[in-house]
Amino acid sequence: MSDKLLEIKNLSIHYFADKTVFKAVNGVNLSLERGQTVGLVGETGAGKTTTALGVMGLIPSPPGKVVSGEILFEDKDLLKMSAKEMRKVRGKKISMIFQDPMTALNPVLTVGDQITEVIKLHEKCSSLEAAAKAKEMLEMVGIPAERFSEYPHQFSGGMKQRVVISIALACRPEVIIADEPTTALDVTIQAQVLELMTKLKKEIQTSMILITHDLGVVAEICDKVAIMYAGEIIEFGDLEAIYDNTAHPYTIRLFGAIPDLEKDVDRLEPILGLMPDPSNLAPGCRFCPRCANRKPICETTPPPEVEVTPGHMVKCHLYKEGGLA
Amino acid sequence: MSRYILKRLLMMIPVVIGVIVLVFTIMYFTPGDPAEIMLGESATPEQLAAKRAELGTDQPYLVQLGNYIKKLVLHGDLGTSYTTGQSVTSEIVAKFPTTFKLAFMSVVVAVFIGVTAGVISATKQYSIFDHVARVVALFGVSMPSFWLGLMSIIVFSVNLGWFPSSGFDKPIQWVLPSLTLGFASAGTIMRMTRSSMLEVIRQDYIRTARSKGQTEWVVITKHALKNALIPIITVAGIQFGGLLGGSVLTETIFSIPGIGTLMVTAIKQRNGPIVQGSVLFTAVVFSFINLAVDILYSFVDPRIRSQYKSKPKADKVPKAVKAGKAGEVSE
Amino acid sequence: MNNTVSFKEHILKTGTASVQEYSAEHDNYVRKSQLREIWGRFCKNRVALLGLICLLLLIAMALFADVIAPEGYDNQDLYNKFAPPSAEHWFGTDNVGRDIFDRVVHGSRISLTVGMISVSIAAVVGILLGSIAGYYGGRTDNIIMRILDVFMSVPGILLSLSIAAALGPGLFNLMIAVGIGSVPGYARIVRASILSVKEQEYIEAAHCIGCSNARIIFRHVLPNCLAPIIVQATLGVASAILVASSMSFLGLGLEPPIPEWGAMLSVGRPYIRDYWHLVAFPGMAIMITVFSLNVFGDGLRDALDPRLKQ
Repeated sequence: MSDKLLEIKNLSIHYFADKTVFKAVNGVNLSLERGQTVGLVGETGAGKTTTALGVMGLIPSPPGKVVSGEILFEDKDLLKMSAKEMRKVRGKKISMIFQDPMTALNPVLTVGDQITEVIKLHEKCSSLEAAAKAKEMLEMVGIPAERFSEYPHQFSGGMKQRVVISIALACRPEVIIADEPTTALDVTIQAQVLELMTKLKKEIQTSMILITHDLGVVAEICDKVAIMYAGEIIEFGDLEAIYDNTAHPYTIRLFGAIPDLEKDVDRLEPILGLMPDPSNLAPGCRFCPRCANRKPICETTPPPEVEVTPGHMVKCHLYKEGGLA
Repeated sequence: MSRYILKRLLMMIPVVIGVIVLVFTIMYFTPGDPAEIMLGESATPEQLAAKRAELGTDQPYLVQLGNYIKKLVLHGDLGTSYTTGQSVTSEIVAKFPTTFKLAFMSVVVAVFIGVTAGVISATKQYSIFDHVARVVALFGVSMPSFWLGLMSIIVFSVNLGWFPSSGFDKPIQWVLPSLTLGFASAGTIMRMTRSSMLEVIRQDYIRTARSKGQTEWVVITKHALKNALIPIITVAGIQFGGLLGGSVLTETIFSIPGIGTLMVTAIKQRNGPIVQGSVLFTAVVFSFINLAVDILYSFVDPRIRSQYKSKPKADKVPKAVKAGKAGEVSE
Repeated sequence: MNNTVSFKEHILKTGTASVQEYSAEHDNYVRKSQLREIWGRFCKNRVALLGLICLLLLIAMALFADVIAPEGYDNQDLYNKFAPPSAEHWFGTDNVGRDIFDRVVHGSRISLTVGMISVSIAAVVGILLGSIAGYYGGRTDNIIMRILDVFMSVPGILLSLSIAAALGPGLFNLMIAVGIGSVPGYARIVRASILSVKEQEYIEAAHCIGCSNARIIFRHVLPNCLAPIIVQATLGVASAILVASSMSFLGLGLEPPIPEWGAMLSVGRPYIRDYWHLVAFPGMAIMITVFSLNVFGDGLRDALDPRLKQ
């Protein structure tokens, strides 16, 4: 077995509606090693969630479809698994924390039921044992076990997210995919939830893909960072590589859009324009229309993946293997 | 919860009084002299006058209304039938079980067919089943139930001889009436189930359930259907009321001795007390069904349940759901 | 390393060149008028379009009934009773030898008129009551809505039947009897829309420039709840036709020889054991009419409010 726990190879996912094709994910390569946390960063609509759902095998179909690629998990291709095999992976080996805790819990079932459900599905135990385990999980995420038989509407947003986390972690999965787990929460609660997640991640020794658009969060908890734009990963590398040796113009501008207390800047630098329409992607580099440094070649040819320094991959015509072009 | 039920029962009183006044007024203005109906055309003017005095129909409108309410409240007396001379209450009590049984069985048929087809349609949206089921449902909604009854008599009793075309004593006689009466409601319930399920299936918590590795069957039945039930229950409740009224036609066609036939005959014979009594009775039963539906909500949805608990005034949620879905209801 | 940092700064400094070109490209779309957009959405729904075509054909049939069936609807031919469908009598003849096809064609006039007028009566009364209740609120609202609750707590057909009994037979009375039952539906829609619209700022603005209450209701508030009313009315015509035919079937609406479809069913009912065609065709006429209205109404709802589309 390689040290790569999860490896996404050339994954493309498109949505088909009427006559248009929305190319949400285009040739994504991403790997996750045991115990690592990889941050997947990008704007809204960059294809982060679709990639995650692809791994979970939960792309709504129709209209969505995995067009090409492999998702190797423990050296087996998830995309080739039967529905039944896949159900054994979901929740047990790989589980997901969703973005909006307000809607992620079933309003007509008790939170206890919802945690117990996943335990009963994957572990051979009686209902009583499962319930006891679920209570343990609740305590673990900092909710008193007495609230086991309460309904989601009786919990606050932060508490709901804790419940969602406890569902995701109940079977001690190998991989957790956390899809913007704090975006919908108050700033004060965000910190608590993040802290809880990193603590639990260490406790049950799992790996994590953290989807976010918050570069601050990434800096705090990730080992590696992948920057996603218009369905592609345009830059990937260690935390240090991305933060200190930022290469891709998009990533650079992304950092430019964050306020920095230490620097005295007159105004923030927004990234101008919008993401390209996924139903009408340009043939060349996707970032090209918004890029201030574009060259003629950018409009016609998609940039290849190059390694600027070992382990630091970037997709941009400004670079060649080993550095600037 | 019990406080809520009590409150709802108290709220029913003015509505029932309203129905009494409404129905009484309608019948008051219905042409035809009860004394003449009872005594026949050969009666002398003196006999008629005496009969009117006995019935109290020579008195002013308000006095008659007052007397009617007084007798009803004090003795549960709905008057006497002009044609048979029997008490209206006893006639209705004798006929009602049949009508209720018919309406209830039709609702069961409708809910069973409607919910099953609706769920399948929603989970397999745009499949062939979905298309066919939707068209059939629309036909069900558009078909006069009495015509469907007539046609099913032609096909299943006259030509095939499978089921009898009249009566309501033996189970085999129940089949055609409850199927034809239930079919139209099945269409309405199917459409509501489908749209409600489609709404729910898109929700995030369904994705959560799938992400746990749950099987599709459990995701649909346990996670989705329970959430989709509120509008379905609402429609089924309204349909139940409609079926109680609609049985007027089905009973006529299948010659079933229920409230419906009682009432139609009474209207034709200008037999006011029977008409008043049966409309009033049906309206009260309908109100109770509505109450039952609202109570059912709280079993399905814990959010509504906790609302009843904390502040009994907040019965706004079920009402809003009802109002929002009212457009879907047709006769 | 240094190389990259300076490059970073370079990029940050040369930022904004491409804004102008970029946004110009995006303004480049054509605005369609709202009606056309609704029509376009409606046309995409093929079943609804079929309903509309059926409906137009039915209306044409009603308008040109005298041309399509010049014999009239009460042309008895006692030597030719109960004739089965044939080339001469497409739908056969009834118990007194009248051509059923002719009667069905003429019947469309009655059914469509009853449906439309009873719905208009109900809609006008309902809209008035609903507007008053919603706009004035408070006690007025309470009284009106409680009265409507009373009407709603009697199953529709029973209410219509008793009112028809009180008013006696006749076309206009039938329309009233059918219409009254659906008044609360319109009132509720209008009231709900008004309650939601009332608090919005443009209403306040209308108050500020001194509009009268009636003007505010009719010019500013009602147009905003037009869409649900139109949909409700279309579907209402369908159910009104059903109720009217049910009442005629029970003998409490229109009576023969008037070719009301429900009355025709009632005429044919005693003979169903031997002559199916007496009840089959009038019933089909009801079903097709109601079906087209329902389909059309559904399509209209989806087209008017795409958010509701499933």
